[in-house]
Amino acid sequence: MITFENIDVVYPNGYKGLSNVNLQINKGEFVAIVGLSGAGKSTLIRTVNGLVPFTSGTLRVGDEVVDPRSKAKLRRLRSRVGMIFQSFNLVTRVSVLNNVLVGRSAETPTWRSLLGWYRAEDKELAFQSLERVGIVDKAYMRASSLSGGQQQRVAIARVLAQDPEVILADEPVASLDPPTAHKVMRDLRRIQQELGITTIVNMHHLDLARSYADRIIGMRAGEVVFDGPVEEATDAVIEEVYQRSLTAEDIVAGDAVPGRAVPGRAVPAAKLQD
Amino acid sequence: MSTRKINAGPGSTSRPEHQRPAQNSEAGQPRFAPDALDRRPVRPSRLGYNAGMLVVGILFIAAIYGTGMDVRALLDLPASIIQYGQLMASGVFQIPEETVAGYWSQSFDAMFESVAIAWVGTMVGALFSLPLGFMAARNMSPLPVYVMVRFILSVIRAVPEIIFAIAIMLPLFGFGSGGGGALAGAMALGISSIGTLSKLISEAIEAVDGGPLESSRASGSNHLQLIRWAVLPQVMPEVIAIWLYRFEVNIRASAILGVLGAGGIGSLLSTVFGARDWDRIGIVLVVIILVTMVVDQISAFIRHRVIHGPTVRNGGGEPQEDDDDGAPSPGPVSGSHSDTSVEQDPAPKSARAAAGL
Amino acid sequence: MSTTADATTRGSATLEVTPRPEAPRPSGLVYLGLAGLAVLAFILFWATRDSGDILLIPLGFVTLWAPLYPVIGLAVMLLTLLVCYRARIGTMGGFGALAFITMSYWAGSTVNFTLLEIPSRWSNVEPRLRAFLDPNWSYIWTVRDQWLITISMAVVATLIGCAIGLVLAMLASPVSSPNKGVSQAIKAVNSVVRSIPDVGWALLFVAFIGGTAHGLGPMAGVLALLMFNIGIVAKLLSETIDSVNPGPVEAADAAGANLTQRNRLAILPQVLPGFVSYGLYVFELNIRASAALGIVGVGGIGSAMMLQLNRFAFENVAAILIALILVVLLVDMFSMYIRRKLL
Repeated sequence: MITFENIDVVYPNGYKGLSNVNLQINKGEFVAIVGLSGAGKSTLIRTVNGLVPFTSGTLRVGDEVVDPRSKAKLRRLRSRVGMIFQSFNLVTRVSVLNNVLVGRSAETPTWRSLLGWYRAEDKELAFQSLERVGIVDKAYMRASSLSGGQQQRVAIARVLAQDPEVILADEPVASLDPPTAHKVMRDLRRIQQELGITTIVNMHHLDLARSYADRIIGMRAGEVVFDGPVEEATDAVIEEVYQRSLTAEDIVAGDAVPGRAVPGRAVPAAKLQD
Repeated sequence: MSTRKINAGPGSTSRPEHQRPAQNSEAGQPRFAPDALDRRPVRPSRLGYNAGMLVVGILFIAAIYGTGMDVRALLDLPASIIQYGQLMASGVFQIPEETVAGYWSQSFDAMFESVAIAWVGTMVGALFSLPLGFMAARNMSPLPVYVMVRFILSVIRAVPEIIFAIAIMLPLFGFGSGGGGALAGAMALGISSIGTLSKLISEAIEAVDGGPLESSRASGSNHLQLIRWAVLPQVMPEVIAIWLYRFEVNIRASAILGVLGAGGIGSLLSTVFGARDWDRIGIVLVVIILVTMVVDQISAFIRHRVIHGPTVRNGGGEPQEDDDDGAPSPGPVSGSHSDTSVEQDPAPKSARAAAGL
Repeated sequence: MSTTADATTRGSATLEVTPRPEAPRPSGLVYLGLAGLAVLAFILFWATRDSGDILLIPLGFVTLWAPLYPVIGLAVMLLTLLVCYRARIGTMGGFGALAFITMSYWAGSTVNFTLLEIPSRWSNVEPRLRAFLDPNWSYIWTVRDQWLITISMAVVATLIGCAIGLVLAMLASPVSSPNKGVSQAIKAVNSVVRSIPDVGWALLFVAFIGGTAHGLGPMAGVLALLMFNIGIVAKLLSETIDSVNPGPVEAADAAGANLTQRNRLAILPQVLPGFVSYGLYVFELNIRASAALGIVGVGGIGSAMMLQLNRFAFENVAAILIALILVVLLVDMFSMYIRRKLL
């Protein structure tokens, strides 16, 4: 369970990233955060693992109170919280397996990381993670030789190798084409259901959010302006969040959902299992 | 930490409970039955890599024996560093009465002479490097000229500047600070600068944006007009930066020529070290460090200003993407990344000129 | 350059649709100040001149005189300022041009720049050039040990220097260093290390631990090259690290990696191509430098060359120098091959 209590974020240049956010995200939930760019979605996600330190308030992840000032505590927290990025953030020059093993850093002694001699069980876990996202056959290829969708799945495997309680995903499909975006989102949803990992995803594609999430949080100007189950996030509500009418850019379309604006979950859970 | 159970979510009930492999004796067992697609690949051979590392290792050990260096000498090193360091420090911090003030002014004079040598050398090199750079740029000169000039440049680059100094310049202009040695050093530096400068400039010219070239060709300008109005405006900032880098390099390079008799700080260094006059050695070193750092700072400021323009502080308005070209340069440093490294500072590339590539 | 004037065609120039923008004119006052600076520089040239050449200006009733070269310098400076002003170059540009000319004049007069003496002194060069065309090849074989020492010194210094340089670069770049203080401190130390020329280091270490005379030359040479290499590698590599893709670094942070792990896993692979080519480049430099440093007594081929030079045995010197060119070319080709192979 993740609880935000009166969280404020003020950047060093004085820009207010979040103001007075109060949220409770339950264990095993799949939450989508929507909002226009600059609404504070990324900031919200990054406060959870301390990549952006909050300036006031209290944040709990599980039983632990997040303290953005203590580096050691932050590292411990981050080992339990995995993160997926829009640009995948893989080291493109090394193999897929080594990229996944970056996720084991927190559990690996520094000297092993330095020499690149990982324990057999860490490698095993990395392989299992790759198997879970279905690209284990690419394990020894360079990350740069993979397509965007495959790279994002490697990034998911890197997160799985951490054995996380929470997965944060910052626009995970924004740089992918619609069919691939759906595939990656299906993977995320399946993993969340299989392993019961709390998952928080930023998106600007409304139809994806409605198709895959349990709950939608709408943000505007650093504040949470909507919070409710997918069914309640109707077009009217979202237009209120965006402060403008919906356009074609707000949807990704593609293979899983024929059109947009089907409130509720468009894809049955059984289909998600592949 | 490792005992926590995190995967007991709703979806995982139908699957064998995942346990941390550290505690699991059958760590090799995957969490679900593999099918053909999921077969793990065989680890590719790292024979070449390992052999390469082995060769480097053997080479290293062999080279240590090859130098015949006496590693025991290292044991005395800290003691002598402290001893002589104290002597030098006492030389630097003593009250500058008349003779000591003379040492300081002598050191500054010698260092300024080195700067002058480097400046004249860079000027000579710069004078030749611009036309040669154009001749060595594939997009600016016909193939026979290109091949010829490239060949000459690579020969010049292979000749260390001490060779120019010993073989031609010192006998031609004379030895010593007063007797033409400084000019000899400057000319030696100038000639040997030509190779590097022209090569870097030709790379800058080859990386020029083709659009303006095409449009001036389309509007009927001749070759010289093309160079003046389409090429020079684009490359000049980078060319000036390259010249300035070479100036910094030449200041350092002039020292070795000075030891051979070309004047400047090198001559003074070899005198004071010959006399083992540690007071003066300390003073000379401090002067070298001071002057070099000040010149480097000024030159870095000008380079930044020339490349990024007066107002823009960072990131640069100039579209100077100059990675992945120029074969022998360090190549794709991080250029293979998709989006984030679009705006690359041109500094790292020109930085290679700093050391005289 | 503004081209908005093209918008109004020639025929409709009388219509005065929009006023044409004036090209910005640099401030005349500032240029006057620059001219004042030029005069100041002239006075300085006059005060520090060593040439006695005088320019006489007969005005009928009185003959003015002025030192020849400073007057030429002043004329060039004022002319340049005039040209810059007419070409509407900004004040910074004008100042730059003035500074350039002043600097060049000063440097030229400091080194007594003249090309007039070349014909009269050419006879000094001839015997050496003739020796170069007819080197004593048999001598090369007798100094093979010296060659071995030179190349070995270069190899050892390159490998150790690159390793230390890598660590220092990681500490020096704000991207990978533990905190700002460390990065600033390492940068400061590095710029001190870099500002002492290689020959300065060689002389220092020869003085510290003894030169060839004591059989310790190679040790001193390796240490000198080491300092030289550390400076270069640390500077170039830390600049490469500055421009690394921050994404993987952030990902490693988010995975809970500590600083060392992050630098090893997310930064090192990204800068590895650069690192390798800086290493090869430094190796090339080392071959040249270790040959040159022999002059100050660190052993290797330079020592042999200095010996022959002092004996005026130019045929032997020529043989060594030509061999040096060949070795440098070979190393250049070798490193080109490795680069192409690895990167």
